[in-house]
Amino acid sequence: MTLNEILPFVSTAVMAAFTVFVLQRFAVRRAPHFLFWGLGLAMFGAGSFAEAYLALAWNRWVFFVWYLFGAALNAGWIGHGTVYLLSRRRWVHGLTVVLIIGSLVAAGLMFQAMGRLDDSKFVLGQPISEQYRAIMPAVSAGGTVRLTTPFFNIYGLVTLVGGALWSAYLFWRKRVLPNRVIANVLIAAGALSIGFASTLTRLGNGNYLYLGELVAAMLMFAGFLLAARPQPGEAQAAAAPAPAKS
Amino acid sequence: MARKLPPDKTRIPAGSVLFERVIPLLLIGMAILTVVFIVIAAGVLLGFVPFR
Repeated sequence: MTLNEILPFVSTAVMAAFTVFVLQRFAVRRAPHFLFWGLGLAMFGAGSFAEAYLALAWNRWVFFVWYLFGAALNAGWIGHGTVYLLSRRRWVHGLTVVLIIGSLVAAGLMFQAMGRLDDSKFVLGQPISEQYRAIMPAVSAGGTVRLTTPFFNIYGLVTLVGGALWSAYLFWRKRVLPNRVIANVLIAAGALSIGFASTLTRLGNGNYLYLGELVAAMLMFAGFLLAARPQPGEAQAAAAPAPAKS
Repeated sequence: MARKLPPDKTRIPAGSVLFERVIPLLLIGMAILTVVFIVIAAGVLLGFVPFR
């Protein structure tokens, strides 16, 4: 096996551990942000596994999982967890309804595209992210699901990276909880690394995609573990007012 | 004799190069990168960024 065939399996293992960790936190604390993070991370893991599988063999239903969960939905769901973390207002519930309906529509459109996949275009050994455009129908020929992907990804990028950067900035400005500052920087860096690798792939250089995914999985997991680590007197520190400006 | 207090882990240490220089630069750099990615994604959506 080559390194590019092994890396997605390693990413899948990291994401599986990460998902279990987050869903355990949800089981204990019942906070909705853990649920959405956990579901989004599970989608990310499913996408990584599908990608690893498709590097070894073709299966159209694995392709379905790769595109729907790995390419389209996961970023939006992870990012929505961050929205719940930062705000519990009523409009967030409305956004949840939009996200669920949007995801169901994307799934329906993906089912619609399944009958029009061109299996003969699959090239064994080539990353699926580099060849999926040849396999999937064009938007005008039944591949409407491709139009939905940028919406989920932009929403995920803005909420996940934006939320992490904003949280890091708030703690940094208050001069408290250095572990949370570093944790949020790691989470943002992880999310950006996958964005960077995906962009390079779509611009024609797919060499760094699998490495980018593994780096993303490790950085985000490290950030989450660091943020979850209890600090002595954390509650008081988080409530401390920002230092007065001189 | 005054007893030496352990460092307070809940507050950002004063004069730290990591928190005074590196973290602010990272935050600014990543914020710029985020905007670049959003523009690229929007460009793909609107069709003015040619993707393979």
